Amino acid sequence: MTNPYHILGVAADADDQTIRQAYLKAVKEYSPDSQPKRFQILSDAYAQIKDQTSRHRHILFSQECPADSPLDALIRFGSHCRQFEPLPLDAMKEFLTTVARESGK
Amino acid sequence: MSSQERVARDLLASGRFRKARDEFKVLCKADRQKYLPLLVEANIGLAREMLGKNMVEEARQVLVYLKTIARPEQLRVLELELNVNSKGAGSGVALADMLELLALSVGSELECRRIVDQAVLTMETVANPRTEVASTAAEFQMVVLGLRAISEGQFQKALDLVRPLGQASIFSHWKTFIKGLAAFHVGERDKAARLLTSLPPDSVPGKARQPYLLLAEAQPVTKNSPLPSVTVLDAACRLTGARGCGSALRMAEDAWRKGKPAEAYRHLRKNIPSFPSEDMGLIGALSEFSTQCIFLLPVEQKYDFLEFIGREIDQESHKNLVEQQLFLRLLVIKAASVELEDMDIDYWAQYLTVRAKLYGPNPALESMANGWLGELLSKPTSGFGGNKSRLKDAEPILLEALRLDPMNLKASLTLCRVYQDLRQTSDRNRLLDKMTARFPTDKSVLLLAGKECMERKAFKKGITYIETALQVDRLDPAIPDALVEGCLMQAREFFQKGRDADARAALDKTSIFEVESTDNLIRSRWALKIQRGLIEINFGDLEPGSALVAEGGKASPSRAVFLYYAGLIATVLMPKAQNVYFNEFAAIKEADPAQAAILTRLWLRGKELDIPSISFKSDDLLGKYLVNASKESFSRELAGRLLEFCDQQKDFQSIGLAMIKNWRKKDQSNPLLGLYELRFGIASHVGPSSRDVAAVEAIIAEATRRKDDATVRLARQQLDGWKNRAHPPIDDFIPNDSYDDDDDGITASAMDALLPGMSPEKMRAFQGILAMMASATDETIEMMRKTRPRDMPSEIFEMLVMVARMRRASDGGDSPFGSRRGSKSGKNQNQQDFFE
Repeated sequence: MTNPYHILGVAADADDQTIRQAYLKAVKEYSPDSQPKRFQILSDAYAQIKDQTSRHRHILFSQECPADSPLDALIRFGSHCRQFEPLPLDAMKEFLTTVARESGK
Repeated sequence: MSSQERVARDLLASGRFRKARDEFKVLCKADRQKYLPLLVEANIGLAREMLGKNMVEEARQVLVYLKTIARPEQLRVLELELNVNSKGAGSGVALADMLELLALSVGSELECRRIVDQAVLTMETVANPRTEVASTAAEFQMVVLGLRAISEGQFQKALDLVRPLGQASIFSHWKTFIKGLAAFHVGERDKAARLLTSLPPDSVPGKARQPYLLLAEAQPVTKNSPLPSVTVLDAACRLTGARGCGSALRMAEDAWRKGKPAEAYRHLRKNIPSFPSEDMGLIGALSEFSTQCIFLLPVEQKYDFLEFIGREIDQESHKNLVEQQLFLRLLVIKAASVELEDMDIDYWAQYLTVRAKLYGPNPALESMANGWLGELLSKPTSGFGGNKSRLKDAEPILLEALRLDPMNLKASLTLCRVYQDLRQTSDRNRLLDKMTARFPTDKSVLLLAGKECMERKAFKKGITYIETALQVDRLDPAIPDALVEGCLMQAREFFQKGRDADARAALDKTSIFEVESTDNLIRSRWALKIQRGLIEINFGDLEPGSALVAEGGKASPSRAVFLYYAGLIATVLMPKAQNVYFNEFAAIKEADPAQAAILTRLWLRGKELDIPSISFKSDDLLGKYLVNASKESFSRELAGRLLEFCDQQKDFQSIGLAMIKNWRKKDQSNPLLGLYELRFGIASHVGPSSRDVAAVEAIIAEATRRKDDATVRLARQQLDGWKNRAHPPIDDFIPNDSYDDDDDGITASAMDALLPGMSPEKMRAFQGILAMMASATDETIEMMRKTRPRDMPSEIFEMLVMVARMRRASDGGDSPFGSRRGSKSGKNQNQQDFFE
């Protein structure tokens, strides 16, 4: 289970209303009919942080591990990113050049 | 074909260009015309290999040599590649050459793609291209501008730019790449994955797709899948907004796969300056994983990691406050799953202090933390004599929790229970009064307060609380149950004060809550009539009371159930009076298996009443009935339920064994019976031996053969439970026959293994304790358990208990009821003989 704040795309200090709005917005996008799995993830995440008591419980006692390995942590984090920053041109050029060079090896 | 030529051709085909070149050089001396093209090919391959290894100068020397043996057009592609590599991207001259080459369609498709990729990597724009390369240059321009648009976040523009590129274009794979990137960035991950996976894997876009596919979850990553390169991971991290993490992540993943989580943590910690962190970005996610992973690690790795964390905290070598906070929390949560020690409590206090430093004070959170700690301390420990002192420790912590947040209901309820266990009745009453004011509509509080009022005979107030709870929740059966109990107790009180009319009014009030079902042991018609009747008999009028009891008896599920229930109630009402119901129950000769399950429920109800005078007598009677009933025909389902009951009631495990003995006469290899026999035979604190594990595996095999899925499931749960213990199954350190041969019930070698390095004096003292325990009664053992020194590990104590029990069993001195029965004389003798 990935961090519920990541899943709902809210800040760690978000209040009840912000979290609820983020949840409602997300479930509109991933309805239980169209994407039941994703909807379940959203609902579980919401249940974990929906009010102050739940949030405190999550901070203090959560024993959920968000991934199976460091690489999986990156992948799962990515899976809940709303949008990715495109690589700037210089970074893109450097990346493509390095990949081209490495692939020649 | 000569053997030398075959070797040379094989070397060339397998990409071993240097050796191939040497071979063809020799062959050229024999037949230059035939072997020269192959020598050229080998040299070109060698030069490319060198370029791939970034050995540009060496590649150039090969090119110089090639110019002496090959035609210039054969070397154009290589020359261009060399130019791009030596001058770097952005060489206008190389780009123009490449475009020209592409326009001429020189070379194979692979070579063309290579040139296209090299050209695109320049990311240059072409001004005023020559007419013959205009169309190629235009296509090239579309790709470069498309990539630029992607970099600037203008995804639609990027798509518009590359749209004119046809499928036949030599730039088509770049078009696919740009479309894939645009889809990825606008959140169409499936589309992105579909487009990117269609790229030719040997092309630059085909290689560059990896970070995107990783983040689009298009490529499943398992422990055995190859590790992505640092470049790929760097790019993936960059896409998520984190820079320079690729190398650390790769090292961490590598260490993790090797089963070294602490090392993985150290790589991330050392190489990522902002790690650990609690931010919402990738570093936060990696930090969360790196600490929370402790909850999924196998035992050995878990303890290695905990040791590392403990060391860091003790040596105060944590990297930052966030790390200190995360570590402290882990230490306490993990410790709490075993047994909290004083040091862990200090860690918890430190954790709250560090958290307050990081995020400012948060009374509600601190209250919850203290409430949790108080609750842990208030729970019964496994054999600690210091349970009362733990309760005493819990009290100030829970009071602190309530000071920080008076509305902390859970802490209030826990403190209430602590006061009850400590028998601080007035504190409990005061707290309950506060709670009913703070939580006037919370049914759990109202119910608790109501019951508490009943205990101190404030019936009117108690009934008012419970009636309020009933208004809050009309569907919770526990509320009318409590109300009926209150009314019955009030009626008894009224009778004792001579207010018979009020008493009968209170009794009549209970009939509102009467239920038809015979299952409800408080409010079903038969149970209610028996209770009302017995109150009348003992405190009111004999005649109407007897009539009610008789009616209740008729309506009850069976004579045995009636007698047992009436016996329980009579004991509660008049503990010292002769209990005619229990006496009649004891005389039942033919036990009915169908009634056994109801009786166990009645027994549990008797336990709830928590009156010492009930338990000994009712335990004996029920045990006798169960063992007697087990001689009759039984359904598997009922046997399972009764064994489950015995499993949960420690005192009934010996009864369970006696029942199993009876059932086994009819079905010797029954897997369910075998499983419970094993469970009852193993002291839960000591752990199973490898022999026990093998026995469960045999049970699974037998249950599978019989298609007994429920038993298979139970047996698997048993194995999983053993596997998840802190200490996995151990080889028998106490051989089965050891207590037959050894006076102390445990072998010297086993003792050595158990207590390495103990001095002879201490060992003698220890042996003395062991001998004493072997002859101790259950009460004595219970007393010893309560007064055991705090520094004696509970596992050791429980193991000694087990040894003592085995010893007693081997001496034939044990009975299913342990020693509670006392001497083998008089009336008890018959019962003991029967059970044995």
